[in-house]
Amino acid sequence: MPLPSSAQSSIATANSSDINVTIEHFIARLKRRQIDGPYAMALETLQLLKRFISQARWSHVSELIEQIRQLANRLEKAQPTAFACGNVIRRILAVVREEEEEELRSNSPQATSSSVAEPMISSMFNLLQKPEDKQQKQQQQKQQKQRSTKNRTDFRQVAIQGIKDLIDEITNIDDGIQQIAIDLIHDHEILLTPTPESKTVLKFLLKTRERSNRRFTVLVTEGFPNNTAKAHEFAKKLAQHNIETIVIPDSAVFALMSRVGKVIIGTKAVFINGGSISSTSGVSAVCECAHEFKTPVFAVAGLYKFSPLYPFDVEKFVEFGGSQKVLPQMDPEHRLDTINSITDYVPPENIDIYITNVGGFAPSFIYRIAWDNYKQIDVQLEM
Amino acid sequence: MSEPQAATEQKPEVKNGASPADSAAKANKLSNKELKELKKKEKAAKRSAKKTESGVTVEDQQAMAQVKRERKQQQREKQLKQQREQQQKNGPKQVKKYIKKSTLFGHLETTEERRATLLSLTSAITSSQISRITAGGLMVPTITSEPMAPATTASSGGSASSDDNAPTTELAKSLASMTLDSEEFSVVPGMTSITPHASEQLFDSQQSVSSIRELLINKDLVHPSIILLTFQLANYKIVGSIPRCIAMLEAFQNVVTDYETPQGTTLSRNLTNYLSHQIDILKKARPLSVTMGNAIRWLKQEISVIDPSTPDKEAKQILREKISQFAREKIEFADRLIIENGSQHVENGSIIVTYGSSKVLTDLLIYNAVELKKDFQVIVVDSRPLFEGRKMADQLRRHGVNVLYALITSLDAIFNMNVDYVFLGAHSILSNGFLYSRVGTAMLAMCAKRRNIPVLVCCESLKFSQRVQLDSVTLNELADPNDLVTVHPDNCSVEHSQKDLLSQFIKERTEHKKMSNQENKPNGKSTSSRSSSSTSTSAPSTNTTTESADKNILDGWRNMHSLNIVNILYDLTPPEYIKKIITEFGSLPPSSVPVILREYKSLA
Amino acid sequence: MSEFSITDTYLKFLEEDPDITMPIAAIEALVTLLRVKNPKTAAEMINTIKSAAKDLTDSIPNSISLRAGCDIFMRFVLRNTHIYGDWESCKQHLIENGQLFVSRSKMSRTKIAQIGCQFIADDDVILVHGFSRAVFSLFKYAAEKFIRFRVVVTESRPTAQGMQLYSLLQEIGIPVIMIVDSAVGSVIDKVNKVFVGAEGVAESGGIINLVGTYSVGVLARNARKPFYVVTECHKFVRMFPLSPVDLSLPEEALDFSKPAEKPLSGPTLDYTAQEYITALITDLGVLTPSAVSEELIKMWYD
Repeated sequence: MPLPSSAQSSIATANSSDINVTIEHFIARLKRRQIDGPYAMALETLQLLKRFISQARWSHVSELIEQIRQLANRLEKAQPTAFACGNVIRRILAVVREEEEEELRSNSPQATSSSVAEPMISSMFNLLQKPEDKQQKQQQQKQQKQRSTKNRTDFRQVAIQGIKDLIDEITNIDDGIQQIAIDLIHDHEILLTPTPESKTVLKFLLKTRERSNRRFTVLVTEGFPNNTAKAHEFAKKLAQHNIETIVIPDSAVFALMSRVGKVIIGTKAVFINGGSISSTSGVSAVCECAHEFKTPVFAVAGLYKFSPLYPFDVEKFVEFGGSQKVLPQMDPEHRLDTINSITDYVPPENIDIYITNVGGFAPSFIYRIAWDNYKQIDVQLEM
Repeated sequence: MSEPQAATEQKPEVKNGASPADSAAKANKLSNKELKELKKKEKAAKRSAKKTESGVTVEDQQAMAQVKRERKQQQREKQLKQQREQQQKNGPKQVKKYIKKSTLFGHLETTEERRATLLSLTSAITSSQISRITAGGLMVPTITSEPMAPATTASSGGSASSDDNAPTTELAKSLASMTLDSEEFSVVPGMTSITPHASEQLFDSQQSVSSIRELLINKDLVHPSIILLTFQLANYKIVGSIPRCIAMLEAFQNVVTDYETPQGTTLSRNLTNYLSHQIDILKKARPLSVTMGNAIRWLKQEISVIDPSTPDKEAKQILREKISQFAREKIEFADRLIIENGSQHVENGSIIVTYGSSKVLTDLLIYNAVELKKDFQVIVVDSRPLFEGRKMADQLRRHGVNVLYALITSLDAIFNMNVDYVFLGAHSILSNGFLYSRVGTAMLAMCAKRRNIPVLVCCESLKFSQRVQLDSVTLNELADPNDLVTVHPDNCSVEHSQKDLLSQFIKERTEHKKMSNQENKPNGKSTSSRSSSSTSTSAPSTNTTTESADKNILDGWRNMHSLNIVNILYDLTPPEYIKKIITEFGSLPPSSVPVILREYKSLA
Repeated sequence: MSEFSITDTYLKFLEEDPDITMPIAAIEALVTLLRVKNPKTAAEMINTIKSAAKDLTDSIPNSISLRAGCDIFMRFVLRNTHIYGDWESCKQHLIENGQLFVSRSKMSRTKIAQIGCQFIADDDVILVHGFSRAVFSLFKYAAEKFIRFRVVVTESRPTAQGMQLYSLLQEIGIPVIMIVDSAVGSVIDKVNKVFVGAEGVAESGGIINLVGTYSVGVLARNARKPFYVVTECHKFVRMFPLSPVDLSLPEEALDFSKPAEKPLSGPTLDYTAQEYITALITDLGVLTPSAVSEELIKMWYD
């Protein structure tokens, strides 16, 4: 059984040996869901990518990009409901592409007509733009290909630096979020959180208590059956830090919602429509309830959780677990069907605001944040 | 009879102790002695009362109790003072006990309070020699005698001198005998002995103290079948407003049968009063359900209209018949009509969602599957900690219904499955159209409403209530928060809470014992041997079992100041989420509830 | 050629190519105008286009959609002349590549189909109101991808668009039924999603489309069914109606002075506000209604 540390050790040791072994190993762990939470997943993916890039061989950037895309595709296939892997790799891809465009622009003489090379995602003007674009680009690329042999190492550097920056960003996410979110809580407010597994929410609450010295009460739902232990742990930690904490069963949310000032949720992934996946079941109903009571819901999420995907088919993204937690004892003669959703999709209309490490945004603006960090071309990784 | 002997032995002791008690340092002791003296006096009064016991009537007992109430009040205050002093004394050592009431539900009676009341009651009522477990606490007959010793010695603390000890044991013995065969007087000490210290603290509120006293005074009036029912209710052995109501009506049948009108009054006047005592204790198990309240109101009405000239036997016969007729009409026939009415909505191939467990719904679905041979799927949604849905799912499954069992956290997934109807049971429907039902119902109804799935409520008109209420926080029932401590999906709440209370009790007792043992070391042989025998046999064994059992994260949450667990039982569903209420009067919109209430009143 | 009429040219384009959309026809007409007039200076070119666009929008009763085309064209010209100063090459480019725009606009429909086909799942029942080429091409593409879905088409009175779509869908073998417009409310619970096209997409992200779209949108929202708008991004138009009344259509909403022999009255277009729209499927990708505003802002203030 691979332990969580084994990945790191394997990364550290066998650097000369087959990178593919490491990848296979990582994929296997993804498939077995042995990586807990998007945070760890994002960091491990980046470590893997760092090794991958440092060992990759390519003659032109486009080849590097292609290789990274293939890796990302494999990782995404391994666990289609884990978005963190794909997200961070896409971010790195965007960094590389940006650099590539930059270079194109500085190298090519025609690039002065910036209306052509403008890195707009895509625009209404596409319709009327000059048809030479493509030919130009191809020409440029051809020129580029000849030149780029010199500065191949450059791109490796760029990618590695991008990874380092991203790791830095991810590890410091909580600070950024706290800065913004602290002002959203007033004294003696009653908060409710249905996502006790979220470390971001926990840290946020602790910091708010610590820094602003505001007294507030936190209602914690249990997330039965999958996250009850985590919920209790969460409540205990809050209570130990002198935050008034009340544990409530999941069923009592509606009854208490009229007393709740704000609902805080953690997220597992955020989609461009402003909807999100949370890794506790029941969050959707809680947010719906909050919406019904006009209680504001704010979601805390690091930027790396933003996915450039659109949740076309929500059911595809929601995971289901085994029945033993729902119904541990069953009469063998009269077996019951059970359903146990592990994650939950919260539609954008039930979330009022997203607090990220780069600022607070309305769900309707999430698409822009996503496009700022990803390239449209990388959304679909499958060929 | 060791009683008089013990009393005479005690008298000089007390006086001796009381006379030199003038220094401030011995204030504590003094109060102790005073207490004993008081008890003495009461005992004397009791003895005198006993002489006339053969002819004691209900009225007499009540009168007697009233006379003694003042004294008991004093006694109680003394005890409280003692406790406070004791707390001050071992201030740094003893962790302050908080009354665990959540900020939101401070106005509601907690299970602990109820349970403590029940415990004190049981301690007074049961005088059998066999130890047994009731209501969530341990009943060891010897305890009734013993605890007085630790209690007094502990309160006198280190100042207890060696010459005090021998009489203490004597006193304990005497008290033991006294408590075992007397009634009211044993009650308060008995309570302190049996209820765990934590629960004891809850009686700080004067109101609850007096209500308990009231109950204890009248405990002799309580019919055994009511006591049995009380425990069944308190332990959630009988759940659901209809089963509870039926059980109550059955118990009342027995009560009426065994009732004998005291001299000088009439059945129509006295029986109502007598029933009130039964109801008071029933209330302590759990707050009365609306069905029970309605049935009681009806019954009292029926009693009051009985002609005082009717002979007792005949009147009782009439009442018994009326009670069974009431149960038949209001519940059995009503259910049959509801099933007839509701069946039109159970269609072939439809998917029906239901929540928790409802008797009439189970019957409805089984009827449709078995009698009408319809093919449909039922999704039973359930929630922690009661898991009532498991019972319903199991019942349906056994009758061949296609059942899917899910928890309330999976609501989103459930409603993605092309659900056709949501059928809900009710605890009560309020006059403003709100549905008062098992907590979680409102959320389910809301989700259904937002997805345009019709929500149907099946409900006997017996459940209609005159009350109006706007949100779930103002009036609700608090269940035991300890039910939520365990994480295991298979928790049986009652067992767990019993275990919890038991272990807590044992722990406290062993602590008391240790303390008293240390204090009594020089010559407290009899006490120590006795206590050690009991602790070594019972306490350690249970202790180990509780420790070996899987540890929960929130064990000991009571000691964490800022941690609270709220476990409410009901919530309110606004009428706009409800499409239709199916009653024996046909299908109604929620707005018609007050209409039926007026109608129903005129009928009854 | 001095008799050049922008309106006639526009109508001719629409007539010749049934696949062409109104904004594209307007752009084509303006390109033709440039070719004919061949302005000598930047200022002349701009003035010519401006007055022609005004003539065009004034003369055509249903001008919202074509206004979008004129706007884009104007902005493109202005941008290239003012900001980059290369108006000559711009004019040249426009004149020479008239046909290219048409083919591009058709391309964008394919792109929409590719993007939008993810919105259709197996066993879906989809309600469509009005006829839209974008919606049709999306269905066609999805059917080619072997997605099994069924379509409910509204009759789309007072036009015959429902019938048109019905027969087209039947031709390519997609199971389809047609209902009267007023039956939407009774079937809305049975459908999974709603697709509509758009004449124009307003600044707020709301859409202007065949009359009845608004009621379908309200019903869909009430039933919590996703309501998707399938449209090309050149239909984004810089206007911000607050309600259907704001559209200032030639046919007043309620005209009580109508002659008795023609009893039917009322508008042929209506405005569906953004809160009823789940997402817009465009050639720029899947947009939330709020993203429309961003695109327009970018176009006007870049």
